[in-house]
Amino acid sequence: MTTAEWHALQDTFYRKHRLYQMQWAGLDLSKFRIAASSFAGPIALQRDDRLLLEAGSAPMLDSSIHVYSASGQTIGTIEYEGLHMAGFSWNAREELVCVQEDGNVRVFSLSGRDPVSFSLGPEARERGVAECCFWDQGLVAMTQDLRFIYVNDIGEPKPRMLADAQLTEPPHCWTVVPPHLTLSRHVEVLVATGVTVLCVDAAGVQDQLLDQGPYARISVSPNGRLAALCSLQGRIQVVSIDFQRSFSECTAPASSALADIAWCGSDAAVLSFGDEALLVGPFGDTLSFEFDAPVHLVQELDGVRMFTDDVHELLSKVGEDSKSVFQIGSTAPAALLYDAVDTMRAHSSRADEIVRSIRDDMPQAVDTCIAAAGAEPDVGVQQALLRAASLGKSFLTAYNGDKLVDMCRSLRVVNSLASYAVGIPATLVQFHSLPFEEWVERLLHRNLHQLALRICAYMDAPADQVYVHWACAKIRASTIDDDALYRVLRERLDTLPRPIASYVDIAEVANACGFQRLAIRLLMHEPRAASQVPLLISMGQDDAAMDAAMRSGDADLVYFVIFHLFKALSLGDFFQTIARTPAAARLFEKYCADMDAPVLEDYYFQDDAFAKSARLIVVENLHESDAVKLVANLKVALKMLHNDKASVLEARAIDQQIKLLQVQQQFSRDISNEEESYIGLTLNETLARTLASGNYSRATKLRTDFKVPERRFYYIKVHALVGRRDWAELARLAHARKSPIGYRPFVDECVAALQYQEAAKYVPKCDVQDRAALFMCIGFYHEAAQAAVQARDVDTLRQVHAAATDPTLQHDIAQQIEQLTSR
Amino acid sequence: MSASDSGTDVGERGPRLQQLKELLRSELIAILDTIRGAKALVLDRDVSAALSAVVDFAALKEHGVEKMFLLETGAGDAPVQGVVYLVQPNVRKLRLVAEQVRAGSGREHSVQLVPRRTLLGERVLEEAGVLGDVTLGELRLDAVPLDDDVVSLEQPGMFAALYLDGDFSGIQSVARALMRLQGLWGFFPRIVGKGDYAQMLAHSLERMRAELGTGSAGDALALSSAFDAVVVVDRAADVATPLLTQLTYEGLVSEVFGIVGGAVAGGDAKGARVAASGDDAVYRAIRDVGFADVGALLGAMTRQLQTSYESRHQARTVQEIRSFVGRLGGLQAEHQALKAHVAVAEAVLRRTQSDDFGALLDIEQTLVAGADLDPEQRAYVDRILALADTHAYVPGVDTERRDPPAPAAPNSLHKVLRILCLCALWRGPALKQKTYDAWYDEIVAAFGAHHTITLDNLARVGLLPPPSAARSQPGSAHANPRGFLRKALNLAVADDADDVAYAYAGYAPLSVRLLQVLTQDPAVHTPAASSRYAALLRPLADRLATQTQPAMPQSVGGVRGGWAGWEDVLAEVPGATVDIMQTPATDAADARAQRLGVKAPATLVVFLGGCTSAEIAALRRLSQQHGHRYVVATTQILNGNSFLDPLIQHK
Repeated sequence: MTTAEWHALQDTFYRKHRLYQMQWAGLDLSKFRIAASSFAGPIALQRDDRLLLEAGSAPMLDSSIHVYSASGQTIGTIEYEGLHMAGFSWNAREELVCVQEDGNVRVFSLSGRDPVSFSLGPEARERGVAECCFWDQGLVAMTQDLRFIYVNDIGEPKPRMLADAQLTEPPHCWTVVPPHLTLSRHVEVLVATGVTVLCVDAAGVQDQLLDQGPYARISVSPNGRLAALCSLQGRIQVVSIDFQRSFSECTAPASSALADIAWCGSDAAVLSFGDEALLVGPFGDTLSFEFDAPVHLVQELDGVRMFTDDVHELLSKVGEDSKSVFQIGSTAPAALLYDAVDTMRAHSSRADEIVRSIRDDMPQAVDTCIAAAGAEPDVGVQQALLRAASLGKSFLTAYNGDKLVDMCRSLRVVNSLASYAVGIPATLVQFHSLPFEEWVERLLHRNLHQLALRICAYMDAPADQVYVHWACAKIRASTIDDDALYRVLRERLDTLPRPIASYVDIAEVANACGFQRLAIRLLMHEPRAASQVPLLISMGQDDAAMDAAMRSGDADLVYFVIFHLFKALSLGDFFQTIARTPAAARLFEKYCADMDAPVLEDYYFQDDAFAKSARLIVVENLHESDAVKLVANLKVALKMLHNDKASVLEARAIDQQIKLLQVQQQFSRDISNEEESYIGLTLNETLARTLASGNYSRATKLRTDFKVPERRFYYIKVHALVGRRDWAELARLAHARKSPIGYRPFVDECVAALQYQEAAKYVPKCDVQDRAALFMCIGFYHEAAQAAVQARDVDTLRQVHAAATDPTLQHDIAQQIEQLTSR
Repeated sequence: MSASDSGTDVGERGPRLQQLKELLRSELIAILDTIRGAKALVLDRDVSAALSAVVDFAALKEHGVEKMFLLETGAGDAPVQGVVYLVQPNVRKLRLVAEQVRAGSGREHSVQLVPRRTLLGERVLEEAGVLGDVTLGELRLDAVPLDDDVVSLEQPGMFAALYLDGDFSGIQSVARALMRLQGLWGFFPRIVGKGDYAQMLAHSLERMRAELGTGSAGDALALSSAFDAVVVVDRAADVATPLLTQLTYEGLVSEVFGIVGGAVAGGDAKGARVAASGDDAVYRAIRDVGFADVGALLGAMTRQLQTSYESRHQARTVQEIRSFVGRLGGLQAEHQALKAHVAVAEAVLRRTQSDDFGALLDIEQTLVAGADLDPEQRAYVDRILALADTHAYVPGVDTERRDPPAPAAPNSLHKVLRILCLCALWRGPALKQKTYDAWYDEIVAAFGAHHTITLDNLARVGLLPPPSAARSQPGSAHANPRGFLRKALNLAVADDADDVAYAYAGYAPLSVRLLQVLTQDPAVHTPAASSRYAALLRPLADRLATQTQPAMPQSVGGVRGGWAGWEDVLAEVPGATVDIMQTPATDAADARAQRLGVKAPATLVVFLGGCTSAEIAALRRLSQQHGHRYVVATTQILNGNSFLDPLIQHK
């Protein structure tokens, strides 16, 4: 009878289901420190070095950690030597995180190979770690002097201190609230000290001002909304996480001391007292379960697992679906449908009656049966329920069978995971709450390749990770040579319909195991350059690494290789190597230029890159204000440019610049005002300033010395003279000889300076066609009219007519227009 | 289907770029939330515009940002516990960050590299000895929607980085950004493009897809039904277009004032912000209008607004008055925007009417038409060189405008170089070596000896090819390739107001013409071209022959034939030619899409190295004409000045 496992608590039921008879024969758990992983993971045992042992009584005296599956079968042993452990726990990836007293943390995978280790920092090392609290991603450690250090992500550890709670004596207990459960999204610690509880985070300490302590145990519910407090006197309280509201209270049986608390769902807590476990419901009612030996609790998403030396049981709330099928006296459609299967088996006509009576509720009945099957731990009952669903389905015309099929498939996998041999008793809820790949990963940790492969095939999932893991395992265990091994691997991997992803993972293992040739051959199959390159470098294959990086088109990877080469090779060798790949050489140049690295100079020098060297000098001296130094430096650059035939123009420009600087120095000597200094001006600016200061002869000399083209000189001079309002000199310039730039610029400059009288002087010297318009624009209408008549330009004449205000002029113009148009 | 019909229709179909914005926003918020309490945000100037396009300050404040600083100043001694840096992984910038981190010990520092965390960045921080003190991460601000048809890929100065420094790290970032677009809307069924880095990008995309495909989650992505293809235009394939003066309203505002972060640089006369983004209704209506029509359009809008105001006099009943008052707020806002734009437009028009502008335009059109400069135009060039202004304000480059723009643009280095580059590009081997050498001396005399480096840079990236180099171009069948392209692609269009050439008053951008080749637009379908692919497209050619008024054929729009038949033209455009079909995975979804054969409503046009507002305007016009959306993804929105600036050796 299914309901035999049910225990009523007010109107809800809890199911206590026996998962396993533990397979570890004669193990006395009381001698061990225990860490059991959630998600039906493994159990780690280490002899408790604080307890005395009878000599010769126990088989496992060493300090190594023994790992068992949930069914009590040995998975492996992790060799552990060294200091006393302050705490250990499994993280979300089924890795065992061990914190030593000295603050060193070691993270072991299930295989026990190559642990990753890091330190909790100097504080932890000096003061020593007393206790630890873990969550699935990170941990908090309490030092001997009662400070808290936290690590948010064990994968990328950055140990930081929480605020100082100023504890003077060790707390009665403390617990961690993981970041994803707090309002601030940062880790918090609840510390029971005195009669109250402190909430400590990175920013500060908040006293919750409780007065019913001291508390022996605090536990935070899986959704982070509630906390269970257990006082030293045995009073159990469930309160909101801000400690403002109390939801239920009860008193524990005083038989023995409280050992542990775990939450069963988010509204009930399970407490263990030696051989007894006590379920405290949402309203303070309790259910008590007796065991033959001390019981240990493992909190799960949807229940609590309880194990002793002898048995392993799962306590969970009975869902509504199961209730509606199995609750005694239930008349729900699903219950009727379930009964119908039995009656039909008995060839009773009542089956038909029952089905008829369900009728419209049939889809719901089928759904409920399917859902109930998913919640049921017993395979027989699952089958019965699915059979009922299948029967019901056949009476429906339009029912999508996917749900039933999916449930059958999932249950089949879940049941095979739960077998004694595998020992992963995950519920369907747990199975669905992790991605499928993670379950496969868990099988691989246990070296169950065959099963993993079958499950992948059964679920239509890619089996890449299985093959990669298999290949790695094969390499690790191998005793044959590279080529033979390569053949073995390729034989298997080539049969796959699609090439597998990460060859690099396999190559990495091959390299680590000393099969370097194999590693290189395997790497050639890797499609991702980003993972290829670092490994090639670590194997000393610099050229291949550079090739792969260039092929990837990712400049960052090329930089990775460059930096490696720079570090590994002598400067000369490095220059030679990098010059072989011009694209990489340019990246190197860019980096050096941005870093202002002096090595660039050497690089250009050995490369005979004269023009580049010269350019580097010019850039370096951009802000050099000392003319003497500047000239000296530019001379060096000039010398280099002379070596380069392609840089004739550049050499000439720098040569002129040197001369210019020398001239500017000379000019600047006569000048007292620093602001008027010539140093750093361009040639044109120098000319303009010389002219602006009225030093015309000096300007003329500059012009000849620097071979300034005549046209340019005229433009600059006209502009400067108009700016100076030196009309006499301007007239002299205009009349000295025919202007090479014409006279239009004279007019334009004067107009821009609003000097219309002056402008008018030069208009007659301009082109006949332009004169009228120019006179127009400065308001000389008489002259404009004359010019227009001269040019026989009727259009302009009309414009003048429109613009002019003088009636006589208008009259004249009208006549002129008539004359011009009549002809 | 009339043009206006298809316009509205087109906007609603296909990808909704807003999705991207929401994604970026949530990623940014997640990063801010990793640091608790009050914090300061220190921004790279190159990131700030993108950031403001994604979130407003109120949202940042909600997530604990007390103050914002620019990287140059740093957070100083602001009273905050945490500092979040958003910077590009550029060596110089990160050295600045490292300096500030060292000075501000005791704070929590989070350095978020935009748009990706690089080993290079890590290395710089490591060399500076601060890597251990900061939380290093990345903010994938790599595809920021600026409008419903424009995505900024946030890689300013990319042309110079690629072709001058040989630093191709931007390509990887662009590839990642495009992968993100493909993640949202499916794989582009086809990748076409022109240019060496277009090819590199295409290969990166292919490889990234392959890498994704081998992973476990790989084949979840199907071919896109939103985009029919991505067209990648490497700026090197068309360097001449950005050098020309843009003649749409937006283009002119950019040329005269500069546009910074969706606003007119420097604001109006009083310095108040004048919006220059699609969010502003007035601006949206006028931005793509050719400059000749801007005045008339603003006038019409002002009159209409006036009428709306006047409607209050007709209000008789209480209800009517209430309804008027209800609209008043909107009217006032519109009035403000309109007034601001009228002022900006007047300044722009003053500029366009100046002699200086006329002379400049005259030179540009002479060159584009294939003629040589006449003596008067040479005199103009001589004059601006002689009277060069080394401290001129350069719109589009300087972020702070100092003076109201004078009617005559100052004779800045940028202005001079734009003319010289255009000359060298369009004249090609016809340019005399003597002239070229003389210009070299003129530039140095006018702007300083360090511009020998600038000139060398320009020559190296192909913007100022010496005549000797232009003559010896490998693989070219024509003495002056650009002259050939002008004829083959119908680049100079004197009088067709419907042609995309309106954006440059008679010059059709080569970049857009290349797209038109792919979309089989009749504009490139000149008599010479019709023989080119008559065999491929006889029905179309026939229809064109029979119709006096060539109507837009139904088959136009979207990438259709690829490059086939245009090999001789493509040979004259620098860089590799790309045409890759992304084959569908064996996925059922792909098979379904194939079977249905639905024409995707949009094409993504990627500009590597930036594009101008005028080019975007031209593509918008194509969108209308084709009834097909062309979505622009550009590494930067350029004008000629900002295009040249990274190539200039600044003092």
